[in-house]
Amino acid sequence: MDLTNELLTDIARYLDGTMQGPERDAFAGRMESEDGLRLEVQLQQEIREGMKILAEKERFKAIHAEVIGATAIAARPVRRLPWRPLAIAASLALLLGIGWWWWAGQATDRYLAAGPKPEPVLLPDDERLGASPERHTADSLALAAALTTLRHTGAESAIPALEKVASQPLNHWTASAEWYLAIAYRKEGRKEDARRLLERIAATEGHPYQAEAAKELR
Amino acid sequence: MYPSGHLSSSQADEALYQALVSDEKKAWNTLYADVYRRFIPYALQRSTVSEDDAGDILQEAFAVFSVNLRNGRYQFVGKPVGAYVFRLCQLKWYTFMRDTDKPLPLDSLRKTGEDDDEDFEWDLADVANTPGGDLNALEKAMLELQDGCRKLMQFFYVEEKSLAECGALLGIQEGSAKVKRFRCAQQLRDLYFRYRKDD
Repeated sequence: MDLTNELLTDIARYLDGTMQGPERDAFAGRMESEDGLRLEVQLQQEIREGMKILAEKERFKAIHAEVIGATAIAARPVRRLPWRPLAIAASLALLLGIGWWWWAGQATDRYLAAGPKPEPVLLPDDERLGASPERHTADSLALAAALTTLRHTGAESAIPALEKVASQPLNHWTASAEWYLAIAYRKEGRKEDARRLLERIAATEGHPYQAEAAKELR
Repeated sequence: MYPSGHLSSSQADEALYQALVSDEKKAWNTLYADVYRRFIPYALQRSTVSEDDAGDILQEAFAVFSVNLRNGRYQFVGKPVGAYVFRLCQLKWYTFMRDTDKPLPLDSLRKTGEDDDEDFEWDLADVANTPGGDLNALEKAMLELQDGCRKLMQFFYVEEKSLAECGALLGIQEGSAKVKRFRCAQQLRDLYFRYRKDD
């Protein structure tokens, strides 16, 4: 079907809902009987909605910069762990007979794969932690980004980010950051730092990882 | 959750939905942060997608959700709003991986024991009927238009402005705007048709 100026106007009015009543019914009837018209309307609808999606996408890029950029975590490059060097490193580790370290690594990876525990739902009058919803959001995002770095880039890069989250006023996410910081310390071979942090977590009543920390210290 | 604290989970979701319908910035920011926190690690752990591409997928899913919300294709039915967007992200992620020759098994869209239940409350069929056609083709077609045409197409398709308004914005008469709009729309249509994947 050839697109004419009048047809373009009619299709626009049909799609935006300004074509009403008998005129709309007649147009819909034509679409049923004329394949060319129906396909033209579909094409115009695709273009119209696609243009809106592209425009909206720009809006969410701005939201991304505002929300994620605000926590200073967005631009950290993610480097995937190369399989070959990992395999060589693992073989060397086995050859050197440090099985205990291998075992600790397995436990650490299990914790990492599981991701942080969800935030508990607080009762309406429960103001124990006192942080604003915005603070919770910022901390949870910062923790998510730090864990992405820990998983894909390594403990050395993740430690400063985790230390930053863990130093924020106490809430579920900053407490969780302490636990992952202990894991990162351990991965980096900073056994004493890891032990001190685990002892503090294990001694903190209500800490989301109190039980896990106690188990790791045994 | 929005707002948190004094409402049940379902009430908070409905409040979030209403705030999104009212286009409250804080609600969009909260939802974005929530889905970002769940989807980015999810995609990075399960595929070779880069963090930048995962972010692009997330933003496209949000754009689709926003359009669905405005045109009524998305209606609140008591399920978490974030779960709907998460599922949209999954679909976009799957399509991206397939189109870049890094196919994922279909199982990657199904729930595993480790997944958050909330993220799977929507069936894929509920979110699969997403609008927009081939966005890459449309983006490519738009880039080939001249500036004046591109602006006019934005006014016409996105902002749904009248011919008189389009003319005023471009500094031309309404009659001229009508002729120009038709020529630009025809050019865009032909370019889109040429680049669209399934044609």
